[in-house]
Amino acid sequence: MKQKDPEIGVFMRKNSIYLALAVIIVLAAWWYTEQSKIDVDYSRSGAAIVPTPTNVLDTAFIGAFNNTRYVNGYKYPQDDSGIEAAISDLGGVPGAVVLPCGVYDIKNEIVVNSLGVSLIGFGHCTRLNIVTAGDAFIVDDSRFLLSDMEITISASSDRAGSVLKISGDQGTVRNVRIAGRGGIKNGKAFTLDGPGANNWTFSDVNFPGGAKWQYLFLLKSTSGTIASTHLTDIRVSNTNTYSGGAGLILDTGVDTVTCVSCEGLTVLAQNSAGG
Amino acid sequence: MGGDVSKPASSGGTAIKLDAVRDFRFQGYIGSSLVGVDIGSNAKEVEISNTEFVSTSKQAIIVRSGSKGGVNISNNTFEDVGSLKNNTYDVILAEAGASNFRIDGNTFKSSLANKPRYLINIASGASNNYVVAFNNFANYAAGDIQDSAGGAGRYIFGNVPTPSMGNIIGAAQPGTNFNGGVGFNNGVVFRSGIAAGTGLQHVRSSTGAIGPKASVPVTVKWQVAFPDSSYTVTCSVAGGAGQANANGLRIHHIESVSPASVVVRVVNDHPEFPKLGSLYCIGIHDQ
Repeated sequence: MKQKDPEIGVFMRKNSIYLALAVIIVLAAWWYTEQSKIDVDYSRSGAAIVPTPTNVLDTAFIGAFNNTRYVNGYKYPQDDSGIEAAISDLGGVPGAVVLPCGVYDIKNEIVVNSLGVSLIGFGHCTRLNIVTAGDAFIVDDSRFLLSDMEITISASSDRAGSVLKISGDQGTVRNVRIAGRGGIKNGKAFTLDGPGANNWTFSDVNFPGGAKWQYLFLLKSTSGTIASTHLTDIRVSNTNTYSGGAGLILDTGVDTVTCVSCEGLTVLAQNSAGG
Repeated sequence: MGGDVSKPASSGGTAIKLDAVRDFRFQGYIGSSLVGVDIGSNAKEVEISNTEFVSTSKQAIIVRSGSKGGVNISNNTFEDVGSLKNNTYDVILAEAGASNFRIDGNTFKSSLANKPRYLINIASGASNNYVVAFNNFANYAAGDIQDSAGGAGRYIFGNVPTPSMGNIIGAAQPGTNFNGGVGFNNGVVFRSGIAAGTGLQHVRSSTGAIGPKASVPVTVKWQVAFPDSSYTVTCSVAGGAGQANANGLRIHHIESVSPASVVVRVVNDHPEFPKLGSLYCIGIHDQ
């Protein structure tokens, strides 16, 4: 019969508590490492991404909280189809579509026709590439918010569309930089079209230079008035040019426009429709 | 006049062209344009305030003839305007017939050889109801409001430095000028004399010796000729220093008035001695 080594037994008895603690520490470290993966991986975009725990923010579980959708390339592709799907999934009630850092190609128009849609980026690292020659966003309902992102015109040839074509009211655009492309006609930035486009606020909007635009802002209503448009901290390079007449065009039926801390924004106010 | 707003301001455009608009407010920065702001005849309730105008080749602001009114140009800084040609362009031009505007609290600067013609030029015509006040022209060698308008309700006052720079040139006079009626609801205290002007003036003149029981017409010449004879005059006769024998003199009536003088008939009632006194006259013009 094999005898137990009495020294080993003594050792085990004396150190079992330390061994148990060591096992617990190793397990805790492993758990912490795995939990850290359930976070946002900003570096990924596109279809080649393998699902990981980051998907948790795309799930209906998260969506059920606060009515927020997260366009990070998993459930919602980082392009116009993903953004439109995310807006649709808000269910027609106010909510937020978050665009984390990444490049979003906009090849087709995105229609916003429900109340209180907020489209929120992470700042300069969220870039919308406007590829379509038509309108990028058509905002037909109230209280739309577009904030904290870079918008770049990336069409390969002249375009006529708007970045935002607006007929809903009480919207906001803030902290957005919109860069036209050199060598082409970049079309329009913001078109407020008709009497429904009241009470819009544009703040901290930057248009760098060297681009040909039709205009940056157009307010026009041939029936009724567009009232109370506020522009604040608008920075426009004076090397941009405008085939429509000016950067800001107020044409027919415009009532009450304020432009505060506006630099380099040319303005043309006219009544071409005799309204 | 003006420019093409579709061009970059740096290549000679008009930065803000308001042909027709209602209730427009602008604050910011306008640099390197041909014309800064062009306010047309169908622009109403326009405010350009707290804006820095820099290196404007021609006019910084034009208020066009027939402007609908409610134009406020306040608290802006105009720096190096009218640089395209010396003594040719005005920093702010109100065209003939532009009415209902206010230009106040602005500061004007220039470090260039080419200076503006006028800092504020209100063209000849029937411009009504405007105020030009509290502007600072301290950085210019010559004071420069050209006010040639002839309408009603025109107020120009409080611009500095005044009056040494010839604050107003043209139709009005240096100094603080109220070109329309002024109401004081709580009384007025004059802490200095009232200098002779074509609206109100006073004068003292010797009667000369008048024989006993005789009367003479005394001509009193105004210090400054009134524009015409439409004024009210009142006179009294008294003895002054060395004229203690004025007792016995009285004014019989005012015989005639002309723009430059008034003729007063003075009677000596003393039965025996000639008398010498002074006439004190005040004249107030109708308008």
